[in-house]
Amino acid sequence: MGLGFLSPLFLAGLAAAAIPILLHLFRRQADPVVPFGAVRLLRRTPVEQAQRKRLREWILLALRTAALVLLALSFARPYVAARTAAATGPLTIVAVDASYSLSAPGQMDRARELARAAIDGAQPGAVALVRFDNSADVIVPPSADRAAARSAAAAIAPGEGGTSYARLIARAVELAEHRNTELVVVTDLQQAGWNIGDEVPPIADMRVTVREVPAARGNLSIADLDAADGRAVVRLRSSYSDGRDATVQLAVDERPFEQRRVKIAAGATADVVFERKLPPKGALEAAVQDDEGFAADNRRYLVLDPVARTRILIVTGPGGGSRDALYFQRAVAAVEGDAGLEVTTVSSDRVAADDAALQDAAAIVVVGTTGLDRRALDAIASAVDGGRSILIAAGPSVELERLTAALTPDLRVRRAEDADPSVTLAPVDVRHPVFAAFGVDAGLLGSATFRRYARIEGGNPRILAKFSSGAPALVEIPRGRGRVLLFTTDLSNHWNDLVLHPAFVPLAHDLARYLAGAAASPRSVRVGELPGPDATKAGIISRTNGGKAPERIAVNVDARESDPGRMTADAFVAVIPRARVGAQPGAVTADVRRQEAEQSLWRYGLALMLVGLVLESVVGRRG
Amino acid sequence: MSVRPAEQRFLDPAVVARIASLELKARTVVEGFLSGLHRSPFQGFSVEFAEYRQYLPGDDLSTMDWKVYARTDRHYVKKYEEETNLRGHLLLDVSGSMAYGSGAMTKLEYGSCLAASLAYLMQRQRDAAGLTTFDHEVRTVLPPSIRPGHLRALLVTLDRLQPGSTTDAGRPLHQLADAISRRSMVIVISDLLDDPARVVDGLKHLRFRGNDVLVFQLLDHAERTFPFESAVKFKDLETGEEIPTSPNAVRADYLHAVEDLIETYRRDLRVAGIDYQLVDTSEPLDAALLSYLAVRGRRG
Repeated sequence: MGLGFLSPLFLAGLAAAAIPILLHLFRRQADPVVPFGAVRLLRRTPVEQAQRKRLREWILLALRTAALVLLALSFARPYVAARTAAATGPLTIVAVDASYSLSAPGQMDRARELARAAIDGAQPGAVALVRFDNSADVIVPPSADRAAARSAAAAIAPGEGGTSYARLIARAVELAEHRNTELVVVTDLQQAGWNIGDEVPPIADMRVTVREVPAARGNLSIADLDAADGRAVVRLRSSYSDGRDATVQLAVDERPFEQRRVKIAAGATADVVFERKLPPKGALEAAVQDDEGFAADNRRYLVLDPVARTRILIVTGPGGGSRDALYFQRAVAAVEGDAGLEVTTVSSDRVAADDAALQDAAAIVVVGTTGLDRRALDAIASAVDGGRSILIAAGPSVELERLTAALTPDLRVRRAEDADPSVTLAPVDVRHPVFAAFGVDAGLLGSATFRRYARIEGGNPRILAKFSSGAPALVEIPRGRGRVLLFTTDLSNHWNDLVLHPAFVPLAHDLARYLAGAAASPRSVRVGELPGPDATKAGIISRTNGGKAPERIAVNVDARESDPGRMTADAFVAVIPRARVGAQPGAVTADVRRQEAEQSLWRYGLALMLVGLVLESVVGRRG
Repeated sequence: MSVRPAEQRFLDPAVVARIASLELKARTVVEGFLSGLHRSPFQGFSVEFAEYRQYLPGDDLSTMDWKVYARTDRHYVKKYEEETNLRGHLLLDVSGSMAYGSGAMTKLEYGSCLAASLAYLMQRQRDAAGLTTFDHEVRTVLPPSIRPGHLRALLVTLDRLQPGSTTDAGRPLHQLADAISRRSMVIVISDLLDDPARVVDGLKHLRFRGNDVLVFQLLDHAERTFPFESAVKFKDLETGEEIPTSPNAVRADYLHAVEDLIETYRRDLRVAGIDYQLVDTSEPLDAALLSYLAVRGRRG
């Protein structure tokens, strides 16, 4: 432990402490001599006046010097370097893999031995201990206390999370900052620990070494659990080198339901189909016995409860207007199937009469307005104000001016005009959710040609897509608690050939999902994906979604963690990107700043200085 | 009783100090004081007295009053000391401590002015004034006389006074007590910053010999109030000793010592039948002159 300074340059102010000393030396000879007639009477006063004066002068000198010293020290922002951190000294980070792939018998014991050895063999300096699976947690912060690290390492137990080496590296880079750091990773080098799309921060001069935990002899896991045609299907996966007999047991709401005995060949995957029809609702659990492999993947869960489908209402023109909705409806159904978003239609002349249809819909798509009376317009506007989203697709059946006047009065719409020559479509921001399916392939939207579209002005909408002419193609305008999306051309193969291109299906689906919002809750998540301690283990949990009744959610381990694929230590290290950023000498680390901010010794220094100045004033006046 | 403001300015030490000549100082002080008295309702002092006898052959022609001759065409001579009412001895302390002054005048200057004023006043009353200066011993002696040139000689002596050395008033007082043969009025002008017992003993000796004794203790205003704030080295004007002091630390005790000293003199001198007047040198001289007249008046 030692005293450090965040701004050591201010220590130059200590030189000012010499000023009162110099003044004291000069002033000692400079007391004015005053001839006085009654000195005889002064001699009758207490004799020690001269001694007291000298003592007072020394006290004043000490107080004034101390005040200047404290001022300089306070500005230099002192801190006491805690035992838990050597701000600039070497650091060894021992990271222990606690994913469930180390839960086979004996594996974690071996991991603890390797961790202890890594701690004992660490370079001189601080040691930190990190436990990682799908997240990386600092168990012991950087400290010279190796006994604490050893003790904590001995207590690490495997969880049910998968492996994320990217999160480990990010945490290590955070801990290392500008220090001379070695990262010792105790792991089974599971290939599934590196995921495509992981953002791995580059390490600078950090040295990475791997202490390999031998893989399990083999593993039998439930890779998937599904319900098809009302019957349970369990996918078993074996990584044993020999065939195995396994008994798969099903339980519904924790009551035994059915079991089957199967043979599974070495390294094989087998689907086990159960005969008994599943109930319409309940929590389904599949389990298999495997004493030699990982424990966490021996169970899997599935919620059988029916899903309340989210409905999107398409307002069409009367009579043959159903064609205007056809392409959009079929495109959404193709992706969502029977369990996802539900798309229904209503004729525009019946909207006013069927008010319940609007109330029941999570979103509205308008492709026809013929017969849409004032009351219906007001009902639609009210629905948007209440939080629903609406997509208006211009077209021959849509009275765009009337609709926008009611919903987006600031937006001025001109009649649709032909585009000569035809134009194409391009997103303005590919990160918008309506283009989520496209990603880097947003250019696919440019394959469609647009012959006619409506012109819009004013209103300051958010432009999501433009035509090649520069005119807005898709805009978004907030209204009340909802929003209005306006597509300035049609979705029905009247003014363009968009519906004939492959890009239309994902666009329609993303539009529908965006309009419906987060209405659909997840039915199944991986361990650690949801907040809360109950989501850190596999099982059935309960969550509410937007004020609705609680829904059951199945939490399952990441099946990829059961993958026996391994990588070499060299390959592991090679994957980690390195940056050519050298340590910045003298850089102040965030850890040091944190210590100084926590201690705030400068406040005490200034307070003492003020006390000293008050005392100096009192003692000085007494003279 | 106090004189009117118009006359008081002649008694203001700051004004008096600006008058160069001591004789003129004395005249200014006394004339101002007396004119104030004349206008006041206070009566009882005999301030005008003149006595003549007819010239006889053989008289000293310097004693002839030529003004009277001019008016009356007769020759008269003035009466001299053997025919006056009073012999006054002015005893002025000229020790080093008397050289201190924080205002317009040092104690010695103030004392000199007071002595000169008293001598002038005595002369107007046809009293004989003498001067003795002392510190730890008698320095100068001018026996009381009413001769015309005597006042001038006394004033010149006063004007040329220099501070002496250490104080020991007891011995000179005893010496003077033995030297004064006729019953006189003894006026002591001193700061009395001395051993009170020895001083009072000496004064009692003078009183015991039948003299009227009036003591003026002169103290500078700073000696009475000790207004010093910052650290200083006080230098003893008699010994040269320097004492570094924190005034704030010693003020209370010093003031207590001053009051003790004053009270000691006041009490012991009253018991001895000796008149005592404390004089602050920042204040006008009228109080001192009034005290003198009060004592002078008791003698008739």
